[in-house]
Amino acid sequence: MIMEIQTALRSYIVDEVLAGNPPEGFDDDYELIETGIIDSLSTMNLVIYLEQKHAVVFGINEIIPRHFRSIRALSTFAQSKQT
Amino acid sequence: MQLNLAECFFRRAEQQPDHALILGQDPGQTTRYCEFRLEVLQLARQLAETGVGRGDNIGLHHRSGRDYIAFIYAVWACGACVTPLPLELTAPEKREIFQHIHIDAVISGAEIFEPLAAALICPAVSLTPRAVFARTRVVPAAPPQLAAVNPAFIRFTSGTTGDAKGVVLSHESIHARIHAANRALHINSEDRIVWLLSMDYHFAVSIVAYLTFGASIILPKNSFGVTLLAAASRHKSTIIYGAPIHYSLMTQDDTGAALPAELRLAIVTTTALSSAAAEDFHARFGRVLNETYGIIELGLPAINVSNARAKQGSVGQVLPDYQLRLDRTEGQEHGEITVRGPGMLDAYYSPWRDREAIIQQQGGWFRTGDLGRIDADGFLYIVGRLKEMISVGGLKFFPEEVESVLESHPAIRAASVFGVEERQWGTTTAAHLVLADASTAPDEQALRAHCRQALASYKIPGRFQWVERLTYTASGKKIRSADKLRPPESE
Repeated sequence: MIMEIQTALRSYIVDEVLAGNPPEGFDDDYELIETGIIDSLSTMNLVIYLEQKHAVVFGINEIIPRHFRSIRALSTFAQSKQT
Repeated sequence: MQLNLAECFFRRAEQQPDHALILGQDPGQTTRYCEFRLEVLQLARQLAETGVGRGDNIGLHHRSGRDYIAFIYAVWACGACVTPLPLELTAPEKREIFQHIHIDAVISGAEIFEPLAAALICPAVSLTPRAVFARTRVVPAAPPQLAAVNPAFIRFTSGTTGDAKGVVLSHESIHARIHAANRALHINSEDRIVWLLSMDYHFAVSIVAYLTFGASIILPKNSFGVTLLAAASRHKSTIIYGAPIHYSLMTQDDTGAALPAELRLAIVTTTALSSAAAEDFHARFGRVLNETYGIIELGLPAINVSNARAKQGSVGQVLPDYQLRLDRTEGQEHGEITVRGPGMLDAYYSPWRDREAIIQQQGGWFRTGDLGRIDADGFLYIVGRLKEMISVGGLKFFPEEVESVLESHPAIRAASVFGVEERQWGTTTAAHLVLADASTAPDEQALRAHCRQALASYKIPGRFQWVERLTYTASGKKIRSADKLRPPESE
């Protein structure tokens, strides 16, 4: 289950956030926040994507950097919040 | 000579060349007014070399940020006009813009160019290391009246009051708007403004005002509460300009970070602020949020700058340059908000209807389609949208009122109420409900009992349906729709 979200999330970020051009060495542990891949607009787009496509329900106090720092961290969190 | 907003910025840059315009994430990422002016002029020269000039309309397909601002000002400096192409639109939605609006060429982020390629003549020309320029293949004719209005923006949007596509704003209208708004905002070169919104939808009465009045813009790295608070504090921000979600994220930050003492306005826009979010923000920071009433056709006719807790929930008093009238039926407290004042839209693009035709049709006033009430002190409260008003057997009410009662139930996180056409009964109402965390769903009887405490019986939904989530537009407005409603269970 978690692999499913992780794979989908990787595709989403590569296709929609990075427009198909991932940086060199981009993997599931790649730092998303410090590198600016997650910026002010992509944060909310990711939340909407996970809510709509993967039935993940975020509490407002859960939209914090710790959960978004990498694809692996976000997948783990998302999986724990799936309804 | 026609007014040009780029010239207004150039003049400001000459007055305060060393003043910071963009305050980036790191100390070394500050851009001064003189540097940005040079950047804009360089881009304008490149655009002019590709043939961009007066009468052209350029689509802008780029992430919000400092480059976005530079491109708009460069296009204006060439005498051309801009149509934003929001990145989050789907491919068919983007195609629809090209079908309705005459767009001569597009500036796009280099890495996000591909979805537009079919509409453009390729290969695209490199404009900067991160942006490209390409002319469009097939262009619908521009309305012949367009050039005469000195257009700065054509925003592709459905008109507030009808099916018109595209709102045309001239340099003169935007200039009039920002001066009218600044009678309440008082933006000046001492201001450092945290910017959090999409520039595709928010630019004319905000970013243009900052560059014209000499303020500094703070662009945080992301939207996490801790990031926003850190950026505001580091730069001693005086104004924050955001959506309700941004203030909720700041409220929920658990690092104990505070807002800077210099902050004088925390402006909230795009959608109605829930009273719970406002209360939580006040409890955490001891500040009242400043709600606004912004309409693409009008600008910002009302801003709540009172900072008074008693006026929380109001969008403020109408600004001095505007007149506001509620179009009420007798005996009702609320009515449709109609406004007149400076900077009104110049025209709807398709079908073309100029300002005179629009307001003449409406008795000299602009009908907003929003419903409001005004209290004894002249503070305006938005009650709902006229077209979302529900009429049950001729008794009219607004979904927001019922939603707010439902959302006061501890087991309900969010509610959406809408009319349903039932063959036998005419319009009845239904509600989509999202269960609060760790709650058990109350049954319909309990929900009705809860509603009865606050609502007339005709307002109580006939059906309740639990859903995982509600749907919202890209700008955060709730979509109230019966599309997902299951048919009533047979009895």
